[in-house]
Amino acid sequence: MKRSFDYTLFIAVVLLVGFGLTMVYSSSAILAKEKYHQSAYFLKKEILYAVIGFIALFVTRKIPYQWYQKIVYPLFILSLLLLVAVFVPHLGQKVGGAHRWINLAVFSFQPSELSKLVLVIYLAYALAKKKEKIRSFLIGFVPPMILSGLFISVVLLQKDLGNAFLMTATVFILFFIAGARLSYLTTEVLLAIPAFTLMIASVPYRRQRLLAFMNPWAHKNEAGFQLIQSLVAVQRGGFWGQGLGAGKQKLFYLPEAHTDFIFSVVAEELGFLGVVIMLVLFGIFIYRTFVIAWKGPDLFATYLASGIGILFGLQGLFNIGVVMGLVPTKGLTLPFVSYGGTSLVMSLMAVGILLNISSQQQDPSEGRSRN
Amino acid sequence: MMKERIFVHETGRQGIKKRLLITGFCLLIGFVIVIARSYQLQVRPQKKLGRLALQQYQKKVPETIGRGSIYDRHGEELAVSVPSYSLGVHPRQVKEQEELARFASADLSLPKKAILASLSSSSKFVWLKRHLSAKETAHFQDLPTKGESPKGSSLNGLQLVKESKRFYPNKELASPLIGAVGYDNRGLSGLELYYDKTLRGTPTHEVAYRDARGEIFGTEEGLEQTPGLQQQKAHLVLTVDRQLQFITERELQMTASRLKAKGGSAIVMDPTNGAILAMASYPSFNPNSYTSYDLSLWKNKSVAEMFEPGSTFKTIVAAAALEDNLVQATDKFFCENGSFRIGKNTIHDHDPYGTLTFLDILKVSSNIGIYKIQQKVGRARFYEIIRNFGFGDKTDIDYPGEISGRVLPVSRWSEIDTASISFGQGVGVTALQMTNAFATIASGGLRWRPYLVQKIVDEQGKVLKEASPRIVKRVLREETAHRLTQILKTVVSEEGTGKLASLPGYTIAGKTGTAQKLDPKTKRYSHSKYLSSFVGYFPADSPRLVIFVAIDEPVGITYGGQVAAPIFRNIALAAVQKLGIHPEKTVQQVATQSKEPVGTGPAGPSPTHPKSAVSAEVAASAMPDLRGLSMRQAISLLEGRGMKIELRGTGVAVGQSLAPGTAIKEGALCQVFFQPE
Repeated sequence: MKRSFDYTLFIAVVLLVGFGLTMVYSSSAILAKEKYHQSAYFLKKEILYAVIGFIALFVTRKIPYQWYQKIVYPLFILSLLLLVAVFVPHLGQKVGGAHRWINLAVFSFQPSELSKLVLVIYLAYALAKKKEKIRSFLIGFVPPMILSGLFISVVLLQKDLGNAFLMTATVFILFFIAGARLSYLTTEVLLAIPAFTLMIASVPYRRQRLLAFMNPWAHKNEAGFQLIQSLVAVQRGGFWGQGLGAGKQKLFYLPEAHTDFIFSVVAEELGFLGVVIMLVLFGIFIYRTFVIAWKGPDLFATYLASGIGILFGLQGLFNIGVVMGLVPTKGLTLPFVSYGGTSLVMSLMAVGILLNISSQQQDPSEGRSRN
Repeated sequence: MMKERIFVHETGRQGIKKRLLITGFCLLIGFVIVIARSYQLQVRPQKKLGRLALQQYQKKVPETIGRGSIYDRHGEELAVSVPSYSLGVHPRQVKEQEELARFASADLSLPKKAILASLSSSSKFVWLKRHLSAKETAHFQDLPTKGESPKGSSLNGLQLVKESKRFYPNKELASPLIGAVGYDNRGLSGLELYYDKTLRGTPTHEVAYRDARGEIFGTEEGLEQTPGLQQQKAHLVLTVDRQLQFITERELQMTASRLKAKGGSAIVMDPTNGAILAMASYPSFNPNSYTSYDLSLWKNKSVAEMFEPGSTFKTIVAAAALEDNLVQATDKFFCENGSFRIGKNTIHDHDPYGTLTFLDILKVSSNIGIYKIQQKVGRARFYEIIRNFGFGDKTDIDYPGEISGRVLPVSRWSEIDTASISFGQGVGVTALQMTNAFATIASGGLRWRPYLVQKIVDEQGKVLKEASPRIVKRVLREETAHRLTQILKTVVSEEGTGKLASLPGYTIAGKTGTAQKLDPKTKRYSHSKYLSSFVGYFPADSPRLVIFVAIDEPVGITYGGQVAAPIFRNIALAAVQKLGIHPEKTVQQVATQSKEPVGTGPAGPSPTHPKSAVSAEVAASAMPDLRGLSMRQAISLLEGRGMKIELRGTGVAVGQSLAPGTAIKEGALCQVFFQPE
């Protein structure tokens, strides 16, 4: 173990979180001032979450990743229970027509954030255990697919289409990496398409969003409003940006400026330059997770690290894609940056796991000799 | 086959790593796409988005709400803006529609349905009711500008907006002239429309930045003004004299309503510069509640309506003949004993005349005579003089909606047209044009551009713009004007058609007109519908005022000399008091000439002394000079002033117990003494 700590990964994450805190403050100050008479309201909470998150990071860094294989099923069941718990009256919290939070008096907890990580742990475990058997349909392919599907279905019940889609994509890619037969995967994708189409078409607001995505100017004042306002923000940024804190789009033009659309504020205030810097930081993080996966001491480590990388990479790309009008509105946050306690703590826990894996990886030369 | 191996067969670590690479590569492509898109949006120009951003941030904030005032020439208020409150609603912020609608409909006495309809509007802001009454305002006084309402969330979304409302303290006074202002503080008609930008102040809005809910950014950003566009609202000071306007309107209205006339107009103008001192149009409306009046009442008949002038137009023929030295006052013309055939048509005089002098033709207003004079002038020259006087063209007064009248090009005149035009039929003129034509004669042949606004003053009282009277052209030689005046004087003499216009102590030059109106149904001249007018100026030899009066379709008496001339006289009477126009030295002469006994001697009656006449009192509440008036005229002048009148004797008034110019007290007794002429 020549390299016990992945500084590159850690610094990239610290910078992203710092970046995030700054932008959370910039984008939420006016809203916070008006709603809570305290402009740092969201910032203070997010700092607290970051502190908890980093403590969690250092704890998970110390936990040997192999341990998760032992508790994978309890974890799986706990997460599933928590997902269901949002529907329990008094315990669950309904925000904007969607059950997604569990009210824990002091703060609310979003089980779907936990479930993403648990799903990756479970899949990494299942795929590593199956090894070659993954190629057989009934023994290798079906069981993990069914359990994952169950998991995702519960997330879907929360009307969290964004996370459900993200998890589905992660599952498929992990299966692909593990070597599942492409014919099975394509068949499944083909089967999934009508299901997703139905889910979008049957819910009016989702249909609206999709239509608005395809032609935002025709829906300028309704569904297309968010998208156009976001594009306006990005456009206003120009190369150098309007300056930190000087953005105007956060003045209630942008919906959820400090959560889903925080990247719009980044683009407006810090410009193309800021966008590139942020994407580079993010890219470094993803790159490191893949390096860790590549050098993983065992299959479980490889799948776990790559699963985390895929999860974060896709979520980040989707969030930014939404902001820039490349993909329809999904309701996904930007990992490490967007406001949100559960998400930040879970993300930093995942980083802790990655750091633990990287701390156990073999000497690079040794790795090469084995190849 | 190679690909197949990578994807399908290699399940070992090697295959996993290859597929890891592929996945990583795909993610990299994703990053590249996002950066490319960002470049496209941020570095390449995006006009549509930029424009939208600008549009939505900028909010035009009317910096100065309200509107400049309109004053008369002495600074008396004619139109002012008073603060007023309006209630609007932001439909998107409303939480409980039903409750809000119930509450608002009770307090505003508006139907609940209408309010609910407003609440379901897709606009950001909808007015519920403009210009609330004080009582209504009180109901909504405690609405906060934003945030929760103290009355609970049921009133969320309502907003009380401070606006300004136009108020006309004199109600109907000069209403068609001044016009009215709409809800959005914009002039709708009259001077309010013509000077709308001045009164409002051209884009006085500041451009402020607003957030998505329409609220102006806090102090952090501050208001950003757009430099160079700032222009404060300004006040108008008119050439109009409020008291004279009042009297003009009153006299016009009294006669018009007594004779059940369709309408009427009157203009008082200063011939030395073109300033309009009064411009009345009957009927009028109360601009404070203009919505309850028919639009037709808004029309200022003096500039926006044309009529066939009739005999007053004969003056133009006379002017042409004198200008070209074609006739002398004493030249004789045979007037065909009242009937003269031109082709298939016959023209008539109201009384048959044999041989008349040029002077007499105007004095008695003979159609045949004036036609014969016109023939000496010639069509082309006559047409040229008509146009020189300004007929057929707008006078260019600072007023909207002026029409140019109708003068056929001379090439299209038939012989009978030529004859008709010479006595003012078959030609369309406006009251202002006719006034201006006589003002031209009065000013020695110079035609001035009429104007209504004396100056524009800013809020600090600084004069921004002062009217500069402008001569349009010289129409007549001074000598011609002078000779014409001498002839027109005889019209207002005992033998003239305009004798009722005479005012003791002053020589008056004028002309009566009684025009037959074209019946729109039969397309022929009516024998029952007339336009009766009188236009004149005085003192004849150094004119201070031109007064035009027209009554449209009077019932009963129709001659201009009988209908309009007395109005002229009454306006002139008030004007001499108001403006302090001294009687001429020749009072005794005039009195003798008109065989009217005048109470006091040549020293002149006191009312004309400037000090007492130009008091701040409203002329209406000051005792008029009744001397020289008939009993009927005296009564009509004193009526409705809350005083007791006692009439002694018969004939013409020779004295009064209350001196002219003294203030009238409610219930005071005034004795008027009459003697037979």
